[in-house]
Amino acid sequence: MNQDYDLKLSHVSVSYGSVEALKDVSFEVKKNDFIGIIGPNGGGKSTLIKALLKQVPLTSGEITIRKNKTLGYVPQFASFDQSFPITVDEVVLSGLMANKSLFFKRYTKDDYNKRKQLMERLSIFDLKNKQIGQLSGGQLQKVLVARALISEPDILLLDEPTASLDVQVKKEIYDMLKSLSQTVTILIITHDIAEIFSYVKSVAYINQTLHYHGSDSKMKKNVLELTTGCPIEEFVFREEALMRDFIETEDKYYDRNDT
Amino acid sequence: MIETILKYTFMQNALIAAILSSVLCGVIGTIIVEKKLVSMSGGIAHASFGGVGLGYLLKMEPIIMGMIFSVISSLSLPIIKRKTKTNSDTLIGVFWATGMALGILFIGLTPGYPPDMTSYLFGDILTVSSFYLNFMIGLSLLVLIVVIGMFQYWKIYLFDEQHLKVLNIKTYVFEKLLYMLIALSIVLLIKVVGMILAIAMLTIPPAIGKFFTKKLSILMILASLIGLVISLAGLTLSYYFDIPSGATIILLAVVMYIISYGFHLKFIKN
Repeated sequence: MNQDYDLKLSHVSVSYGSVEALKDVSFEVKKNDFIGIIGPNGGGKSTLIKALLKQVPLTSGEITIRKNKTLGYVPQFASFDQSFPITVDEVVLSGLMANKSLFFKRYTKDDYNKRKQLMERLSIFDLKNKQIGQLSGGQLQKVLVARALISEPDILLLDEPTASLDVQVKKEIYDMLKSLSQTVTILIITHDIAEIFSYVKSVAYINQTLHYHGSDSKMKKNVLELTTGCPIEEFVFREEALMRDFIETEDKYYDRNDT
Repeated sequence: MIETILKYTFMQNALIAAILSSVLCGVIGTIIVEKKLVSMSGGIAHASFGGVGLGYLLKMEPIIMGMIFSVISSLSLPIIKRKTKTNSDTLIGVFWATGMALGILFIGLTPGYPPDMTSYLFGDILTVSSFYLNFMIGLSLLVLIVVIGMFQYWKIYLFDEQHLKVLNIKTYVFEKLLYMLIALSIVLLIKVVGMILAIAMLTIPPAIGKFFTKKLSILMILASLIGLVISLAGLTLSYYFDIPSGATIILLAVVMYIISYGFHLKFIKN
């Protein structure tokens, strides 16, 4: 593997019974990349993250994570019971659980200091004694990012972290991730196709197979339509100015062979 | 009054059983409620009836056989679910009905006059033996050591199991341990309140506790204390009025739940 790459997918396929979720997907993620994984619902984006986390077996192919590189994961916040009696502090510290004995586990002074610094950096330290159910969507998302980052992972995987958040909060989360990407490799699954281009360093469009992977934000209209299964006009309607910029450059065609 | 009650050995045993079952209900019950395992626990409780029946047929201690049945049920349920891809609710229904049917069949096959099953169905804390009490002490200690010793782990397991899997912590090992403790606790509660009412004692005290605290450790302690108050009050009432102890304890718990809910609505909510 090229020394600049943190993780590499080689001809990865994943099936659920007879349904093929991912088919022959190959790409590499560079160190300190901020890559946006986009595509339609059911296109295999979440399966990709599950495969990276070894939560689903590969039907074929191989995923290689560079030696000694560790993964952090930020789930969709709807994936757990928000009425559960637990504080923000406990949730963030639980990110360190893998390195502790499960029996009579105690956090050290260093753990608490690390937690304080991280939470201050993400502007959530004043929330530490709040119950998880008392947080807004944006605050909760930052807490989950803090939980993933406290173990100092080299690669951060995020599964639709901005789903059902309002525009201002989305911007806040993306700004925070962009800042983090200076030191951590970030792979994010998102539906915010238009917004994400302002922040990410590269993009992968997945709809079962990899249709596009590149670091240039200029991409062909037909690739976007093919991947999202949606007429380009709808995106233009949503983010007219930004999308016009994407489809203007018709002269360059990027497919996975060129990247 | 208390002196009069406690001069009898069976009442002393009943008191200790009430204290131990309250601790079990508070700790295991909180886990069951928060992990939403109430239906599964009901299935396990009723599946144990097959073991009780088999115990009578084979002339072995019915509770020990009940324990074996409930532990096998609790461990095999998730495996069958995974292998057959059957819905949990459906499987729980199957285990529930099969356990009861086996129990009735085995008792029917037992030679001689059929045993009185009322104490297993509705509980009879006043007939708790020293042998049974020792079992309860051992299990309560085991539950306390496992839950308190790994409290931070259980908290995260109940909150977001997926997170532990991402950290490569082998959750299935602890899941099996938890299911086994739940199964054993349920069977031991059978003598106190009966298998039909055991689920109520596991769920009502934590449900009442949730009206008053948002801390898991406090909830476990509160649920244990609530269970103890309800058990002792129920026991006293059943002694003086000569009414079934299990049913009295449960009805008291329901009344306390309704009062607590009203209190929560009026003074705590918002």
